[in-house]
Amino acid sequence: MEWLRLTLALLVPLLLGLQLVARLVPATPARGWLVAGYGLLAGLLLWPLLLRLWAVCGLPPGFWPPLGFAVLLLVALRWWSFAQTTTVMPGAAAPTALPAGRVARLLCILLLALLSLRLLSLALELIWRPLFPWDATMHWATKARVWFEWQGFVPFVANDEWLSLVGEGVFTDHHPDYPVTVPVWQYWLATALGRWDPALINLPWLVCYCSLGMAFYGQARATGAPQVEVIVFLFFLLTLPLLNTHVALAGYADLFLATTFGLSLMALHNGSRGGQPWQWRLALFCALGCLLVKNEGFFWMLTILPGLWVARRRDARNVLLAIAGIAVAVALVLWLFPAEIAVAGHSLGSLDLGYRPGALSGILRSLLVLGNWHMALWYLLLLTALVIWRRPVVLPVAGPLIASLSAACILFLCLFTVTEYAVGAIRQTAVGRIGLHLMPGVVFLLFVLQSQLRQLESRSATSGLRG
Amino acid sequence: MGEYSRALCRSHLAALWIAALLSGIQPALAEAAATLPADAPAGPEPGLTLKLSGRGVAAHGLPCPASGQILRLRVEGAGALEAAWLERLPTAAFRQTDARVTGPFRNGVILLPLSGVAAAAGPDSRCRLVLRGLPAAEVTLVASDWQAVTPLTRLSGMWYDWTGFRPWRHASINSHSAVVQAWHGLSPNVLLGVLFVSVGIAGYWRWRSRFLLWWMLAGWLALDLPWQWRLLEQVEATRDRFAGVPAADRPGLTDDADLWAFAERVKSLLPAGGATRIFVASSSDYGGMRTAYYLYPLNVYWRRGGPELPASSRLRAGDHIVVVQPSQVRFLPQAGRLLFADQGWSVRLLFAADDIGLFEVR
Repeated sequence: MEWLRLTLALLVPLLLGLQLVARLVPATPARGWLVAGYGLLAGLLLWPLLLRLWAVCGLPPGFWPPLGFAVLLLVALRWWSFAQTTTVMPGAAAPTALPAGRVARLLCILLLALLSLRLLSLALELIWRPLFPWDATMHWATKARVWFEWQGFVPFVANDEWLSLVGEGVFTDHHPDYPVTVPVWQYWLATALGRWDPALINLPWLVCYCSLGMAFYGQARATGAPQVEVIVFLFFLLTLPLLNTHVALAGYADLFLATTFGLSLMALHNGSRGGQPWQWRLALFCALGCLLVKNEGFFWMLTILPGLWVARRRDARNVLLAIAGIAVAVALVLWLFPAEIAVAGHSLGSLDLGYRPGALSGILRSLLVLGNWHMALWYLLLLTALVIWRRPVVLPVAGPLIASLSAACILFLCLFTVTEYAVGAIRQTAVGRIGLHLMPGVVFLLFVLQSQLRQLESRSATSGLRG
Repeated sequence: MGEYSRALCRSHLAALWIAALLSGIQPALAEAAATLPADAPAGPEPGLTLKLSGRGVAAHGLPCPASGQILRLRVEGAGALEAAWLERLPTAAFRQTDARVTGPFRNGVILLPLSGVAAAAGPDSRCRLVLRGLPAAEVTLVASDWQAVTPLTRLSGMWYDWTGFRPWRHASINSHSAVVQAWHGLSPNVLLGVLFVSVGIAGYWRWRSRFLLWWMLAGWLALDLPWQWRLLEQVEATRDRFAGVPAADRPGLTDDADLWAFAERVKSLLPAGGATRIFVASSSDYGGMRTAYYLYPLNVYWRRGGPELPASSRLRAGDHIVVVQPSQVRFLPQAGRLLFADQGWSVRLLFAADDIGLFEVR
């Protein structure tokens, strides 16, 4: 019975997300993967909102009432889909068979087998180990633990406010102002189980990992790239050691933010290439979704804007202009923005601005020396050098993606070199985790650059033959 | 020289430049001698048996080389060991955490770096071998020898470090180190990265982007397979520890067992609900934070980075205080008072276990 409730608790909200996204994505190559990837994420982001809305309306808490409502919603959405079959078609899915070449097929099977093994390793670790990492027990699961016991979203306030209120009707922890998507999921699964289980409450992390993989595969296939190439890059993405660690030692919100921001960037790229309105909607939905996961999500959301600007004016000069503009804008904000105004939980006054020697080597160590990202950043270095040197025409193709990622990198560098968070780079306590938010986008950029190089070479070879 | 050869040269020059740049980032055993001095002492005697104390620690003094070297030990009973390290005598004021090598130790082989230069050179130089593991376990040395730190030793040390098993640590969530021992000064990521870039440029010149992808995949697999192996070993360790145990009892099998057990006892004593205010005082971030977590859903107050307890006027009769050592809060049993900074509270000790106590404010 317990497993049935747990399965329902995961399945029904995720099906809601899948149903919503299925309505959005029309017939397109790899539609199934896109719907699965973005749908799971939609379920992960929207279900906590729905639960909170449910509570605000004063409706009965617990497991069955919200679940019953979700089932009704699901039926309604399904009915709506049937009623409007013109917008939702079965989908001209990309061929799912493995590539024809023997070596390529063997390679794909090998990589998929390795990925399955990885998923199994992470899943077993997740379901056996009780909540382990530091912040998970400092300000994420604390809320879930209280909400589960109280069967309601009692407010969490800052330490001083808690003291002023004598703790009446309020609770406190180290970060009461963080977005609550992650703890609401933990609360929901504990409610489904009917007990506090410090391991199984983390199952959404596994869903998030799958969502990232499926969406990446879908978006990469949607570009028309060969399957073997897509599977190789999927393997790169899903085997990043720090990403894997955030699944195995679930409890932090960084994996959710990495997935949300990454999926936004992928949709931005493909939207800018193909001009499909539904890709823009996916990009926008995910960009806004960043706000629901962590405070940093606000800044990542902003970095989508230069990408959108470049998407409308696609040439190399505009890409460079956008990047330079962001650098200038960030410098101006740091210089002119009122120090006392807090944005997304931080004010400039509290950041103690000033260059920190040692931070840059900490960042380089995190990116290139430690094992966080295997060789992804070495690959990026080489591909960037090759593209600039040999094929600069590739740059405008990936212009929006490059502009957004560059904006994010500028913010990332500022955070770890000129604010008090530099200590997170020097001691390696935060630079890896924040870097994780950018990595799905970086791996997608690697994929795009590699694909563009290949396509240009094929075109040159064809024109050479004609000549 | 053809165009291809010129590209090859250029790519290797670039790779060397990158390697040189990154070598400044890599910590190294700067004092390491490349060759073993003629008067290098022998390692600990084979057959020596060390018994770990009730707290799971054993130490053994031995003569050691004046410069940095590697002590290679083969031991029986290595399964009982969690960590081992060498300390120069007299010991430095700080703990040499860089030199600490954590188990489990494969095939009973332990490679221990000896950092620093001895104050007294030659035969007078001494150090201490420290072993930590299961209380009262016995470990027997089968063979030992000192090895000079050569490029080959470094490479072999990196391999041993890279392919060895390491359990999850709290830092694992922040960064993943393929290797953790500083003495060999090498990183597989840098070695493979430099190799990838240098051969990649040459290969691109010859075979274009197709080569890059397959070359990258090969390098990636070289890094990823040890990582997968480590994950599998970790899963096995996790299964041995937690599988089959009810979820609610699993925290009792972790390193926090004492904090969890104490919190469970507190929760069984105090009425549930938001009305029970409980203040957690500790100067240890970790101890305070974890105790607070285990005490939820009681109405817990724990402040990170601030005073351990708020002003005395903020507490009232009926509140509870949990003091987790180390802490600046002192208890005067005769007076029945808790003191912190210049404040005091009249309290009643409800119970104490190990280094934790629960008090009720009167």
